[in-house]
Amino acid sequence: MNVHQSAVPILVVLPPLVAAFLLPVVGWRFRSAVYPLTLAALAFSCAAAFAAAREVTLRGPLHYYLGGWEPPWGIEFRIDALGALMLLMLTVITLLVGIYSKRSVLQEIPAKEVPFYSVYLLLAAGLIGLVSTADMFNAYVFLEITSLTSYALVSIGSGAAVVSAFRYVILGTVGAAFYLLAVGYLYAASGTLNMADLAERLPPLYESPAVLVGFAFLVIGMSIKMALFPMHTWLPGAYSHAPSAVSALIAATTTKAAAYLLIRVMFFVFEPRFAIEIIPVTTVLGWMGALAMVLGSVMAIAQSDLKRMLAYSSVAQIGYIVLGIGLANPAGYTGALLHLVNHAFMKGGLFLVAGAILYRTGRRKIHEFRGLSGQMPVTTFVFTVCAFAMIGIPPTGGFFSKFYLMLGAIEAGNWVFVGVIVLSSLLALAYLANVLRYLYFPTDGNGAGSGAPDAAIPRRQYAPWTMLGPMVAITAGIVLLGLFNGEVVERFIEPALPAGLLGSGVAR
Amino acid sequence: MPVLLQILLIPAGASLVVALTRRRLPQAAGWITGLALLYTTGLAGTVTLDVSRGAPIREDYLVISPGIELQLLADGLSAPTLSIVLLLCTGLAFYSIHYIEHRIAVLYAAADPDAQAAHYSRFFALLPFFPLGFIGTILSTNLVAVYFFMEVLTITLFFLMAYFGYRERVRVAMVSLSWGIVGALLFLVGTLIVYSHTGSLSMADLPGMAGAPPAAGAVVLFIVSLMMKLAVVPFHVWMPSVHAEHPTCIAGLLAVYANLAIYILIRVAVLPLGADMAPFGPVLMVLALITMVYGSLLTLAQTDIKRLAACSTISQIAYSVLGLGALTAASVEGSMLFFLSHIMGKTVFFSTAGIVVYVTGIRDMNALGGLAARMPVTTVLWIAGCLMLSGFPPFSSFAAEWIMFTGIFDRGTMTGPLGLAVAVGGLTAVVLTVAYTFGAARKIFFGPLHPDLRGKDLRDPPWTMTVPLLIIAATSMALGLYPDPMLALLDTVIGTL
Repeated sequence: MNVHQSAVPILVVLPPLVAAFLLPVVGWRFRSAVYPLTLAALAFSCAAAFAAAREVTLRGPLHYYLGGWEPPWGIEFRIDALGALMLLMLTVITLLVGIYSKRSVLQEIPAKEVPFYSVYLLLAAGLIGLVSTADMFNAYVFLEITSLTSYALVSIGSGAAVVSAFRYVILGTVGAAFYLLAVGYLYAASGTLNMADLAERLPPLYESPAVLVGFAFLVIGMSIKMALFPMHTWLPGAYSHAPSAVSALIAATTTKAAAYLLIRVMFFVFEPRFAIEIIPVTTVLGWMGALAMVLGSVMAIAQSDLKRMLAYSSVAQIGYIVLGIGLANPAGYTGALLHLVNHAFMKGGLFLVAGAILYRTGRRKIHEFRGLSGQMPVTTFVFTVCAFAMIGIPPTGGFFSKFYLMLGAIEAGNWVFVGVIVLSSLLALAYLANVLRYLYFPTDGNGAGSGAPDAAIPRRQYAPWTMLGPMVAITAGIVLLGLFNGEVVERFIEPALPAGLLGSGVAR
Repeated sequence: MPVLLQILLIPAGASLVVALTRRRLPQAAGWITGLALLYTTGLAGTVTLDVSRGAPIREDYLVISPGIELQLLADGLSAPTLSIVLLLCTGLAFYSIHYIEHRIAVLYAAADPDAQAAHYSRFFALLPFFPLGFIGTILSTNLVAVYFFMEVLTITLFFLMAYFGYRERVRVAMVSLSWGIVGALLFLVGTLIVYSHTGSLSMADLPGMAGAPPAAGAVVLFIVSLMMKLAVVPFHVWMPSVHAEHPTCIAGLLAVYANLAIYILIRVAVLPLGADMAPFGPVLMVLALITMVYGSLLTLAQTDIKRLAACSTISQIAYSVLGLGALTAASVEGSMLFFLSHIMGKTVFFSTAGIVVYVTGIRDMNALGGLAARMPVTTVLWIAGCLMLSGFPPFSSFAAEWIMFTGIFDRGTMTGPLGLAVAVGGLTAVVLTVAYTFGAARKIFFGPLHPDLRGKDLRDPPWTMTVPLLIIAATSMALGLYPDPMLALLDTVIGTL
């Protein structure tokens, strides 16, 4: 096979990794250099990701052999179309949240910016590494880097953050242990850790108990890491108590990275028929996803704290992704991947809005937001677009992920799933429109006759530009992802469509 | 610029201009919107003339994967519908100039003049999205585009309602938003069934799935989704409160918002999938009959002048549904014509109710009386509205009912109990309509002046509120006297049934 070797994959991973260790040294003397250095590293990595994506779409997957050791002995970094899509999403989000974090870190965790940014960079490096590596054990290492750094970032938050972080540590470690065991079983059965090599050696071993158990453990481990209902209990606390920038980052990225790893192993390391026929994991995942969509949304409706509501909404949105994986047909798979990217943007945007409101007004409870649209018009606008995307109104990206998911459900002939997607969109409408109503309308208009007079419009209080810029960029991203969803599907999803998915229908 | 694109974009442009000039020229907002819409109405009129003389006009614009296209089509069905809908939008934009000023003065009395001006321009920046949504829904031939424009309408209604409505306006706005989005989502599911079967989102490809099993599923979803918009029993619950509590100057637009589903249903089900629709025709007719009688009785029970007008929409829309359910060319043409007549009649009727509230500040009909002597133009308008809703000549609703019922009884199956039910139900509803419209006229305008009104300065409102309504009434009259050109146009599309 003619392998296209390139150093680009490592150029995406290295900048944040190196900068993470450089930062404490530099920050010791020059505290003001910390933020620019962080941004420079993230921007470099983002630019490298774009370069990688360009090369992948032009010339096919990129390979890089760490230390020159060829696989299956050495560690291989491999970026294919799917990996490139994930890299773009992760680097753009980490960069935008990085820009945003400046003021909120100063306000929420003063005097801790050096450790904060070093851990932040390490988390970014872990995420990027996770989607670039082609080695099962190396993936475990990166998975643990992202997890440990997330625990640390959550724990520096306010209030019960330490407790939430502790719960996160326990469950996250259980998930990671399941994954490690799975890798162990697969290694014992096949004798290799390289993903491509595994994919070649596994088919004859599909009936082997070690492989079956390994696969089951892997699915369980990733389900915990993804916070799939009912293994979601670590998520609401962690997301709602973490500092604003951290909530936005981990909500947008960490669960998605776990979902990516699940997709990678289920559909690329194993053949899809293994998860569909030999152990019917896809069926189970589909129904669990459906359950998560409904129950996550219901729990979100019950929340009065915006960040907590968004956290439960994440549980529901993970359900969409898992449902798409569970459908295991091209349309469902496309929907799952699109939703993975779209949700990162939508939920990232919503958490950034929550952070901006907290920064300017100190309010977290939804009912305290009355009439904020007059005070913070841009922030309100961003929230509105993100909310419409969550509900699935075209031309936002959220519409297209739902479009493909519903199409997948229809093609699978599963009308319950179609109903669940519709129901869950309505539940999303219920909790998001409730926030919109408080943001836009100062009174309920319940006054007798024609309604009570409203208070005068309060003074404008725009969020600082380091916050507004990323928020507006994410909003633009949501709309662009919708308008150009065809490009995303054509360039990044279709070329890497796993062979052997259900159904002959072609996802367009 | 191509004419259909102009029609679509000018309202959006008007909204933008209003938003940009909101600080310097807030008081001009109404005129900017009104004149822009007047221009689009003129364009729509010329398009209708062109279509009636020659072939349909078709324009294709941007394509979004997977197969979502902005394709605009003006044919014998869409062009006249568009012209009348835009005429109403324009009339109501002018009507709003004074109405909404008054509404803001009441609603935001505590706010300073700047804030009030901001609300004023906000209204006129939001208003053009109604015509935009209507234009898009009427002209688009792509199912997702139709879905998108339906959502535009729902969201616009939500904001207008919550900012400028009456009692419990925010709660009612949430109700209308929820119903709108539920309906639209079901439409989307139907669309996806079509897509998964034909691989296309264009309405032109719909006939390709006729007769296939999924077609029935898609048709059911389209019907249920649009019945929610149409407020047919059992999906009527949102209508009375939403229609009664919105600012009166958009009443006619809400009637279009609901009734437009008849047009969409003709486009997506009746014309392309007539055979698959046929089994559901009688069901629709029975529901329509129930709705007609129930809606009329409900209306008769109202004492609130705005609620009266609101409830009447329920039974009026059901007339169109009845004609649609019969699925013959004449009944569907009659149904379309009745839809156009109803929205004109409802605009005149409801806006006149709005004038009464604007002048007197009273919504309870029992506290009104004897206004005819003081407000002659308003009285004439109300009577015209009564005639238009009740289907009396010379207004177009008479012609519409005539054609529609002829079409219904042309259908062979109309000999059994269904035929009898249609005859009895239709007659009952007409009698009840006469009762509630003229009954209200008697209470409000005739008899002695109500004691509470003595000493109040009662007179006809400014001309911007009456002249547009008079023009609309005149249009309806012209259409009633000369329905042939309109019917010939409709027949070019619907005649294929």
